[in-house]
Amino acid sequence: MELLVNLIGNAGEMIKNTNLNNQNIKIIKIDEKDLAKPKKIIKLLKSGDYSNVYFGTIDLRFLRFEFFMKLYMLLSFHWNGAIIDEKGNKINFSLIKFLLIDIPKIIVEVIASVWQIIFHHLKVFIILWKYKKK
Amino acid sequence: MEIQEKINILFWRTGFYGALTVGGFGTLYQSITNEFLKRNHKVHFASGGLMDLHPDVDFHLIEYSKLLRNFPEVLNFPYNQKSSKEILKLINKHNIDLLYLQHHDFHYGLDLLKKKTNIPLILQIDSIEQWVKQNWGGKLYFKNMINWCEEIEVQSADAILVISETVKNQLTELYDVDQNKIFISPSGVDTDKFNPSIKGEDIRAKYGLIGTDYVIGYSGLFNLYHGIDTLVKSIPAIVNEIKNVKFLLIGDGQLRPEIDDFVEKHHLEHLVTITGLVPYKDVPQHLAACDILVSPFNSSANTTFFNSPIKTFEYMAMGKPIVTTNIGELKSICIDSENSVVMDEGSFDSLAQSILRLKQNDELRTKISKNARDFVVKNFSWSNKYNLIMEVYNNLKHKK
Repeated sequence: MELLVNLIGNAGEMIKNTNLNNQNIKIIKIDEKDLAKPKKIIKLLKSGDYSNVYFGTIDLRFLRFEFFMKLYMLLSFHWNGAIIDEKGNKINFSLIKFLLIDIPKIIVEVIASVWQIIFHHLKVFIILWKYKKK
Repeated sequence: MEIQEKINILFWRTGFYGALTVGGFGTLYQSITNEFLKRNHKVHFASGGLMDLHPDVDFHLIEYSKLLRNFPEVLNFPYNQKSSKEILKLINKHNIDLLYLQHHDFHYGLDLLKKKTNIPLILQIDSIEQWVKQNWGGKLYFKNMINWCEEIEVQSADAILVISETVKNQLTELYDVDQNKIFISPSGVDTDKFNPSIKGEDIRAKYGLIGTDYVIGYSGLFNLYHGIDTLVKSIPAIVNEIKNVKFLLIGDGQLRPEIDDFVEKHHLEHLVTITGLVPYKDVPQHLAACDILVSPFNSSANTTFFNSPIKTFEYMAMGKPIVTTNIGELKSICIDSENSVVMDEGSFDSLAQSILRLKQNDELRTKISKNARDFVVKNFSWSNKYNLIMEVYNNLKHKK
């Protein structure tokens, strides 16, 4: 039995368009915000002795939290897992890519995020101060 | 007869909704852009995500950063600069006469536009963002920032359209804002698209609902304030009262896992059909498939219910009997035994009894259905919103 963790969208379309076996897949709907609860997600992925797991969404172009989905696949030992969408697009988990691309990318993202937070806090504070001065 | 000037209007939808195109915001934009198209205005639309709009709308996708997608809220910050610059280009390229922006958290892009362009800037505010973050799930990050951005937007806008008196009051309490630039503009409904002559037989057949089934329907996102959890938890009580009852739940959302769990634990699968998200064009047929429609809104976090719910107006326009709460803004809309049956907020028993009351009283069903339809046609069609936008635009144009 495989597991499709449906974040948002039509699970039937995801299964059909990525050629998954409709008879051999359990669908569980979660909210995107649940991805911030690692214990809950890892417990879910490990719970049913699933042969494989997928995260499903409407369109991969607008995907958020990709790193964390891959991290949960890694930690639950579902190294053949994938993120899929309604159009049949797929991002397969790859341990090599995770180590060599995703981890360095998340480090860059952390640095860029800290910069964005500081820069925009200052900018917004100054804009608002100017409005109030008027 | 006054000849209405044809304008170039640019709608700007910020916020990261990803590929989600349905829900209240989708309905609002489809409907209001259609109102402008119907009157031969040129409609442009810029958005951070996909939209399901009429093909005549000139659509522009302004995508969010691909890099900053793994941490909450951060992706909104650089989007301000990027999207504002793109909007400015569109304004100049298409000679835009009016910009209409729906406010979203961490957005302060109107400030840049205010400095660079002289066209009227209308801001629509449906809710106070800090409140939404704190009370409708998720966590509130960057509390100061969310308020600062909101205040900048409020100060930069030439006019602000709010969906209810309650939102106006909240806005006034929080920010030093000129009262003369705030206008109350509730949601509406397309009363041609949603009407009592629509048939629901095909939808009933699709979901295996037979003629003798008494179908209780709900349509909308499965989010906290919609009260979908109240409806689902009432099902055992309703089933005790009505033997041939079935439930058609049209939508999806945050509470779906909880709803699925409840249905499974109480072995209600044979009674409950959850359709998932359906295209907006198919919603009227789904509503037509139901015998009674339910909107058990609740005022979460002890705050006055401030919304102007499109769902209620769509139910009313379908000429279906409705069971609803009448909290907050709904007090002036839903009148018990006149255009709806009003239930107690959050009460499973009250919801079950209200449905039973309606099922047993043919006269009441007919009366409230007719009154509800007449009421929305008169008071809550989208053309009312269109008229207000144009009135505000004309006033601002003369001032500028």
